[in-house]
Parts: sequence; C-alpha cells; structure tokens
Amino acid sequence: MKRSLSLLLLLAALSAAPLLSAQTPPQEFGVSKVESDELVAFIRAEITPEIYFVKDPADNRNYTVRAPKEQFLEKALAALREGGYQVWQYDGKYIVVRDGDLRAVLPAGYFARQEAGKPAVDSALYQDRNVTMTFRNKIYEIGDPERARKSGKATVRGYVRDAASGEPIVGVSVYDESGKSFATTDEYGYYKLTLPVGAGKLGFSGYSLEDLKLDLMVYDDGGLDVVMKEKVFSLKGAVITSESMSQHRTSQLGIEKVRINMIKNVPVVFGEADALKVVMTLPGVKSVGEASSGFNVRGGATDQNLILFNGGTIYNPNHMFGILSAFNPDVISDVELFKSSIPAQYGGRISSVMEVKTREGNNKKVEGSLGIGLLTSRLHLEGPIVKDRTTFILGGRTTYSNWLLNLLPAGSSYAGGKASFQDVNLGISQKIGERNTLHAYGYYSRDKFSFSNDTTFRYRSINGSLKWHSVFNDRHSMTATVGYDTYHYSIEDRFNAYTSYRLSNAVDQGSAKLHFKSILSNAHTLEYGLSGIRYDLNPGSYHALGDSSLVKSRDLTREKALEGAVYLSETWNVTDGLTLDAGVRWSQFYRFDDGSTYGGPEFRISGKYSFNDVTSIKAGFNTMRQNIHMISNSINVSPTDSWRLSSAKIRPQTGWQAAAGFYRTLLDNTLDLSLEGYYKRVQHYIDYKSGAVLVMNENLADDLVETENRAYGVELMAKKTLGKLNGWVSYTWSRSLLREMEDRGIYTINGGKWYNAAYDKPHDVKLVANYKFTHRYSISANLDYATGRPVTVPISKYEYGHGVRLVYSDRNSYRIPDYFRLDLAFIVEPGHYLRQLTHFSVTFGCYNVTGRKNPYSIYYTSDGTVIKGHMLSVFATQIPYINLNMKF
Amino acid sequence: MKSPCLLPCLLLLFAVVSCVYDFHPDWQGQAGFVAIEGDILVGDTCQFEVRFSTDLEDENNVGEPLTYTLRVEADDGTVYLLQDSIVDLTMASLTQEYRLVVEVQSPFRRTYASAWAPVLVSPPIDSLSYAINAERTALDINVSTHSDAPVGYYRWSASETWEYHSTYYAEYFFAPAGTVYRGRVIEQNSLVAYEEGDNVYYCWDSGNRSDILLGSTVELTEDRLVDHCLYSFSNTDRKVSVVYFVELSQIRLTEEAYRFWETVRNNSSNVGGLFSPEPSELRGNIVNVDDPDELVLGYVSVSTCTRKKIFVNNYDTRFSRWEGSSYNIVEPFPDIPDEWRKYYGWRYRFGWIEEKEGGSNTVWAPIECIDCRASGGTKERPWWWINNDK
Repeated sequence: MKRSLSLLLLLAALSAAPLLSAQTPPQEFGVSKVESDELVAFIRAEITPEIYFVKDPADNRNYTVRAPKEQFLEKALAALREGGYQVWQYDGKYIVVRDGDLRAVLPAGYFARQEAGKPAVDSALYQDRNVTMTFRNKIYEIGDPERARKSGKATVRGYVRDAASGEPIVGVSVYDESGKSFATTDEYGYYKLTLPVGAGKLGFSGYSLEDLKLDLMVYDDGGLDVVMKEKVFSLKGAVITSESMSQHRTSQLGIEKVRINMIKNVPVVFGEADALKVVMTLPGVKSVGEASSGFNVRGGATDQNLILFNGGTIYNPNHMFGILSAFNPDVISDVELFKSSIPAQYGGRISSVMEVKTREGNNKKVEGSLGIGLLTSRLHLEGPIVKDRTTFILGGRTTYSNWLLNLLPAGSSYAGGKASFQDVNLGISQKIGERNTLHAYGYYSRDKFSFSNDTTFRYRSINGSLKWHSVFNDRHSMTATVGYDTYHYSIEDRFNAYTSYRLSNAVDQGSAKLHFKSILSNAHTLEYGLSGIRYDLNPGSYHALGDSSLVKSRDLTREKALEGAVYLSETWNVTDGLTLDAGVRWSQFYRFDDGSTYGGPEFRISGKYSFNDVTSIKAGFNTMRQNIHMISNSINVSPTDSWRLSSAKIRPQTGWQAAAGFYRTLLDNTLDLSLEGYYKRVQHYIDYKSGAVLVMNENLADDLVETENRAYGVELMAKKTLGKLNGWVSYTWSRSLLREMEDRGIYTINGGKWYNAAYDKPHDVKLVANYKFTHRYSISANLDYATGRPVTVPISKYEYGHGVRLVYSDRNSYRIPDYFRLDLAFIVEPGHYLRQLTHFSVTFGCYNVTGRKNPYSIYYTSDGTVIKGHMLSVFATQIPYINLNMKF
Repeated sequence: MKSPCLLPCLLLLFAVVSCVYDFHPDWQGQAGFVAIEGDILVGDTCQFEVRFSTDLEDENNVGEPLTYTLRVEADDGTVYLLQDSIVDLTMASLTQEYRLVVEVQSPFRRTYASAWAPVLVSPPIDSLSYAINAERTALDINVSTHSDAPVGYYRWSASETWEYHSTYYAEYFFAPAGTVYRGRVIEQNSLVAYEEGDNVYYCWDSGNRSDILLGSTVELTEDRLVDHCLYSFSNTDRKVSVVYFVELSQIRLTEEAYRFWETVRNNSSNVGGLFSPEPSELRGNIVNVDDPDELVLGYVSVSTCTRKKIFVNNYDTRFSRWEGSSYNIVEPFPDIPDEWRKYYGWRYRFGWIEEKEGGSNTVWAPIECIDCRASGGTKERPWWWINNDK
C-alpha cells in the first residue's frame, strides 16, 4: 500500500509540472514575415524543442507573430492554424501538419457518421475532418469553414465512447462552458446540442471518467465523436457528473440511477454485490424486512413494480427466496428506478419501473473475470466477435450454498436439504452500417430447493429479446424490440405416495414495442410508439405424482390476454430554465377467456424551472393502470406467489401520484440536495378475506377484497457522486395506508377504517458511502434505520381444542421495534500494471457490524396450554464475508 | 394440501444466522370474548364448554366464571338437555338437522346459537398406524380412512397415554426423619431401600393433543386417505420411549368448518416466519341471537364420530430408550444428608450404591434422573395397559 501511495504522489507531481512552468515573467518578442518552417524553428529554439512539423510544399504563406513570450506559442500556433495547419498536442509535444495528413491513423469509419442534408461531395471530407477527438488542446472545427455562418447557432452531435473498450458511455454530460447548452448521452452514447457559432469550449464529464474540455471552432452543424478515459486519479477536486447536472435539466421527478461501480461498493449480506439490495438503500424504497427482495416504492405494493432486465419483464428477481437478487453484477451496467415520473413508454404497473441494463461487450479485446464469494462463484467473458462491429458479453453464476445447510446439526430432520441456483446472461451487439445496431439478449435463471428429498421447490425465469436501434438521421431514431419472458414455479411433494403432487404455475408473455424519438427543434422533442404484451398465464396446475397417488389432476383455466398501448410524449424546453414534459398513454386490455376488456388513458405530466444552473424546482402528476396482480397472503414476496390477470371479476388497479421537488447543487457541483414530496392514491388493490384459499382456486375472485391505498411522504437526500467520498444520505418520512373499499359489515377489514400497510415505516434514514483512500483502497459503509413495521398482534387468548388459541383483531395495529443496521466493507482494487495478465480485487466486509438483533416479526405460538411471544431476527449477528474477484 | 408432518421450513435457509427471542407484549390485551367449544356428535355423547377468553399475559387461562345452560335442538323439535355435563345423543336420528343453544345467565344474559346443520357421517377409520422414517429420526402417526361419499374434510382429536421411565433406577431413597414408608415411620435421616414393586422408575402420563388435526380429500379422486400423517415424534421424545397409546376420534367437517379450523391452526402455530401467512380472524358459526355483530369464538360441527386405538411399543420401534436431560453430575457423594443439603439442595436424591474396589460409593443424581414423577407423570398405571411394568 505504501508503495502504491508514493507512486501515486509521483504521478501527481509529474502531471502538475507543466502548470508550474507556466509561471515565467512576461517578455516581448517575435518574428515577422517568415515562412512556416522558420516560424517553427524559432519556436523550437526559443520556446520548446518538442514541436514536430511537416511543411506542406504548397504553403508559401508568410507569418508574423509578436507577443510576450508566454503567449507567443499560442499566437504562433493560431497563426499556423490560420495557415491551414492542424495542431495536435500530445504529452507536451506539438505536432503541426496540414489538413488530412494524420487521417491514416484513424480507424476507417470508426466513429464517422453520415451527415444528412449535406452535399455528398462534402461528406467524406467533413466526416474525416470532424472525426474522433483524439488529443486535447486541439481546436476542433465543427462544420465547413467555407460555409461558416456569421452568427446564430449550430448543432453539434456525436458519440461518446470508452477509450479502452469502445463501449458507448451512457449519461455523459456534454455542456457548453459559456452558455447554457447541455445534453446527456443516451444509451447509445449519442448526444446532440446546440452551440453558438464561433469559438467555444465544450465540456464532457461522467461518473468515474476523466473530465474532458475541448476547444471548438463552430462554423456550422457538424459531428464530433469523443472517446473518454476512465479516471485513474483525480487531479482536480471537482468533476461535474451527469447525475448532478441532469437533475437540473430534466423535468422528471423521482428518478434514481445507480451504476455498477456503486453497487459493487455497497456492503451486503454474504458480500454478493446485489443490484436489488442497493435499490433498497434509495429513499422512498422500503422492504418488509431482511432477506426480502420484494420492495415497496413510495408506499406501493411489491407487485406494483415493473422490473425490466434489458427490456424483459422479471417476475421473480430473487435467488434462494430473497437472499440474493437474480442479477449478475459482472454484466450489469446500471440500474435505474423511476418512482414518480414514469416515462409514457412504460406502463402496466402502478408504483415504479426498475430498469436493469447489462453492459455491451468490450469491442477491442476479449477479457473476463472470475469471482468467488461465500455463496456463489461467477465467471464472465466479453469481447469482440468481429472487431469493432460485433461484441458479446456472457456471464454465469452458480452456487455452492449447500455448505450453509450442512452446518445444521446432523440427524436433524433438515438433513438432505439442498439449495442451488444458476443464472446465465448473454448479450450480443451487432453494428449494421453506421446507423443501425442490433442487440440480442438472453437470460436464464433457475432455483431449486429441496427439503429432505420429499419436497422440492423450483422456479426459473427465461427471457429473450431482440432490439434494433436505428438512427434515421440527426433528428429521428427508432427502437424496435421483440421479446419473450417466462417464469415458472413448481413444488413437488412426495411425502406420502398416495397424495404426492406437483403444483405449478407460470407466466408466459410475448411482447413487442416500437419506439420513436423525434427531435423536432431545439425546443421540442417527441417520443411516441406502441407496444403490446400477450399474456398466457397458468394460474395453477395440480397433478398427481407417481402411480399410487390419488391426487385428482386438474388445471385452472389458463388466463390469456392482450394488453396494447399507444403513447406520445413531448419534452418542451420553453426557455433555458423552463422545461415541460407531457405524455399520454392509452392502454387497452382484452382478456380472451372471459371477454372482459378494460382501457383508459394515462397521463404523465411534469415540469421544471431552473432559477440557475444549481437551483431548480419541479412538479409532476401521473396516472397508471395495472392488469396483472400478484396473489400472495404473506407479507414477504414468496416463491409460492402466483400471478393473475384482471378479469370480469377482478378490476384493474388504477392510481395517480402527484409530486413536487426542490433541487440544489452545492460545493462545486459535487453535492446534490433534493427534497421531494408526493401524494398517491391507488384503487382496487387486492387484499384477501379471512380464510381465503389462494392456491388452485377456480373462483379466486370470491375470496378477494378490493382496497384503496393512500400514500404520502417527503424524501430528503444529499448525494455526492464524485470525489474521494461519494454516496448518499437520505431521510424519508412517509405513510402508506389501506382501506377496504366495500362494506362487508362485521367482516370488513378493520371496520372499513384506514389501516397501516405492512411496509408502512414512517421514519427512514439511509446512508451509503464509499471513501477512497487511494485508487486501490476504499472503505464502504451502509447504514439503515427505519421505524419498525406494523404487524397484526393477538388481543386475547382462549382455550379451544385442548390448546390455547389466539384472537386477532385489527390488522397491522402494532409496530415491531425499530430497525438499525450498519455494514462495512473494505475493498482492495487491482493494481494498474498494464503488463500484468490478471488483476485481483478483494472485498472484506461485515454485515450488521453492531450485531443488533433486528426483529423481522413478532408472533405467538401456543405450546399446548402456554402462549409464548417470540421475536424473529433473520440476521441476528455480525456476518463477515470475503469476496475474491479476478479480471483477465 | 400440505402435510402437517412435513415442515417445509423455508426459514431453514436462514437458520444458521437467524434467531428467535422471547418477546413480551407491551399492549393491553382484551379479555371477555365468549368461546363455545364442542361438536354435536350424533349417536354419541357430547361435551361442551363455554368460557371467556383471557388477557394474553394471564397465565392460567381461566377467564371470568360463567353460568349457563345449554341444549342441542333437532329441527323436528326434539331437545336434548345437558345432564351430568354431557348431552346424550346416542339415540338421535341421523336425518335431522341440529344446533346448539347456549343461554348464559351470568355475568350477563345472552343466548348463543350455532347454525342449523345436517349430520355428516364419518366413515370408519381403516387403520391407525405408525411409521418410522428412513433415518430413524422420527416416528409418524398415520391414519387411513375412506368412504363412498363425495370427497370432503376431516378433523381428528387424539387422546394419548404414555409410559416412560426415569434415566436411572433408584434402589434407595433418602428419607428425612419422620418419613412414613409402607406404614413404617423412619426415625432418623437414612437411606431406605425400595421394597419389591415399589419404584419411581416407571410412570404414566396422559393428555389430549393440542394440535389441530385436519385432513381433506377434495384434491383427490376419491374420498380416501392412506397413511395420512397426523403428527410426528422425534426419536428422543419421551412419549414414545416405552409404550405410547392413542385413541383417535374422527369427525367430518363442512368446507366452512375446515377453513375455520385451518385459520385457527395458522393463527396459533404457523405464524411469524418469512413466508408465513398473515394471521386473520375468522368467525365461526355461532352467533349471539340478539346481537349478530358480537364476536363469538368457536365452531360447532354436526357429525357422527368414529374411533380407533393404537399402542406403539418401544420393543417394536427399537428406539433407544429415553435418556432424559443430560445432567452430568451423577457422582459419588462424599457424605450423607447435611452435606447433600448443603451442596445440592432439594433437587438431588439418592440413586444407587456402586460397588467399587475397596468398598462402595453412594451415587447421587438429580431428581429428574431418578424420579419419573418429577417429569409430570404419576404411578397410576391404566388397568388396560399392555405390559407388566409397575
């Protein structure tokens, strides 16, 4: 550690040297009426020997440059540029050549883009002229100088890619240093913004990337592709991040994005980096307890979250019943959660949309990683199939968690219990021409848990999708997606040969979506499209297992339906500070088996006003509809839950949310403060009658009741995305209440009054922080405090049937003790010795450092005649872990 | 659908790090709900109990006293009254509908009645048996029954008696001065040998199972349960250490009654886990005739009752005999009574005399190890017991 520290200091000192040497006293001198080679010779003699020059034989121009010594070089280079030379600066050296001489070093067509609306004759020239940014301190010319506009604005666009892997970089802020022009790269790394004609500076910045500032000379519309390097260390104290800037740029509320870097830093139980667990550390996201991957967004139910993995719907994002999420951290790029303003292109769930995306494979070379944790081992490979054109990324995980079960006492009836899971991810991207990209994604995940060889639980998810992204021209693009998602769950019980059965249920869905984006003008952007999902659900199959089984095999009627939607949304930049977003989505649901149909409009409206670059306010309103419902009678998301569609008897859930927020960025754009408040109502949320039969019930609707949900809250968050210390701290105050909609007399839940939802935890403090001592060593902390969740407790007891029984009354009227947990991790990143073939990273951590016995539930059991109160704590002790990762 | 003998404990995954603690509620309970227990067993005698529910922290479960009269009514107008704390329905007709009527006189005057219901016929129990699992770690009590009637629901109640013995056989006991043994007054503290036939080694205990035993054939092709597991013992359970006896009573239930009992079972034993269903209250079929909104606890079923008995003998199961709690303190005792009091208190009794080279030692053991009565049983051997232990 000491060695790398001193190395780092040395590097820092070296890099600072040029800045120091600039401090020389002024001195007037110069040359007049000399040829270019003489001018360069003068520079070489007087200022720097490190200038390389290739004289164009056609150049017979005379140069006169006079300036104080410290400004001389700049003026001389400017003069050479005027004379038609390109000036490159690299590593303190200057390279001066005439136009086009360096063209050969650029990969042919690597980043080039056709420029529509230009004469074909010109295009080849300008493609090359505005090719990839390679060096800093060069003045990049945008557009054709011959056709330079005198004033006004021009459009600059291009791609931002990673220097090492060539992958597009999402979410990089591109901004005009002088003006207010700003853009963020989209998922293809594409950006576009309007700049004033003339000289200017364009800044590029993104999380964990080296900040980049380029000098521009804008003549006309043109392209500029940029490669950015991953930041090795930061010389400047502050770097602007896309997140911090975008908060003041988009009008949408309640969007949280977490990148894999952060996900990998957050300590979690057993040390397996887990996207879902990190999402649960965001304000406004709650869960009923530990070891639960079901989450509640802003007082909504767990089934009201749409979980998309590369566009495919995931119905059970858990492994091992919630210990681990089903997303392999090695292939994930980021997770985005929409908890308030849900873009019109998404629909079908009331509360939120969580989008998990995988990375694109490295398009330069094949590489991979191998990871070993307490529960899983992981392998991932990525690289080009055809260099710069076709890439792949493949990730797989498997578990060897049986050791956990083997720790149980031998001879206990748990002997023979086995738990296992696997998941595989595959992503292939193919560039077709310069404007089209085809992506293929595949995902497979399976879980198996058996108990004493008698009972076996299994579930699996399979997703496959094809995505075609096409850029028609600068202003219009299209994304077409088709996909197939399936989720199967089964339980086999062979305890008694005469009643052996297999119970299963499944969700199969095929989906298609066509999405267009049109930039009508600088002020107006339209997004529109249509989508359709065909559902085919098996709500339950119950089959005899074995010859002697007396079980009456039967299947519930399959539920088939079509859900279609059309949507249109517009972003209108009214003024520099004011942005409005308005969207409408019409969704129509038709169920084939009973003919029921539901449809209606959904509105998505939000607006933002920025007082300046660092202060904004926003407000939004949106309505949602949901036609697929999870049937569960436990408060946790359990593998036995099944999904049902709206029917003639089960109405769709509908809801609306109004939200408003205040945002301010402080400390050189490194600290974002946000305050958001919301109020939410949901109708027709499903609850259950006492004694309801949820499994294999043909007349399920008779056992259900409809409730309405009222949720409101305030989320306060401070987030630091850059610097040695980064992370966020948040405080949330929120409530979520339910009320039965129908009056069933004495059977009405809580007498028809509002009662607490099971995940109603009013006060909530969360902290996620990572502090980098050096580039290699960092420490992470995760802190979670929340009010205890409400539980239903008995009010009385009575003797009955030779045992003591309990009387339960009002639902969720009592709260378990408050929750508090602190996790710590120490992370050692690999050294950056380029010649080294493999790089190791190690994480040591401890979950629940204070060992607090946080209660998950309170319950009573009757042991014959005695009633006993118990408190269950899931992770009642410190859980240390170690995780080893090897990159190659 | 799920066998009670199989405990699909998903929590198991977390068993290594999870923990269960005692919890004492800090909220005020509520006593005073009326609970009415008992079924109308046509062709049998039946017993009913009416009591108040109690506060959660009330340790003896005895609510406020109630005085009441009750009767079973048939829909032809016949009334069967309570006599000697039973209602005799041995001559009642299977073709009537019945209900229970309870008139409470104090502490208030209220009339409760169960819903009218026809008689369900419980088929004979084909067999009552036991089975030992392959690992020889558990013993299941299984029932088989079938009928030609449509599929339906069953409930059983089980009355158990078991013989067990203490870990060690005490040949002597310590008798303080003044103890009377076999009519003889022991005059000073001394060790007294048990006489022939006297021992505190074999004991008998009995009780009714508190588990709610339910079965259903509605998911089967016919009304037949084969080796349906009722409950299990671990191989170290004292109840199956020597001889175990159970008498099973079987009645049939309606779907509504089954759901009621299932909810009661979930509420009292199947709660608190990660994937446990939320507790919920379910009303039975008994109402206060003047105030139908009053919560009345209990469900009265109308059915015939069939019975079966079984003995489980350790001689057959070949489980190792119960070894009791593993006290390690059986040791030679230096001096007699005063020292005994001084060091070990009342919990130790004299065990046996161990012959050793150069003399003998008196061996002392905790009372639980040598006196079976310390574990709750008595020396009252049922007259119909199958072995010769005394």
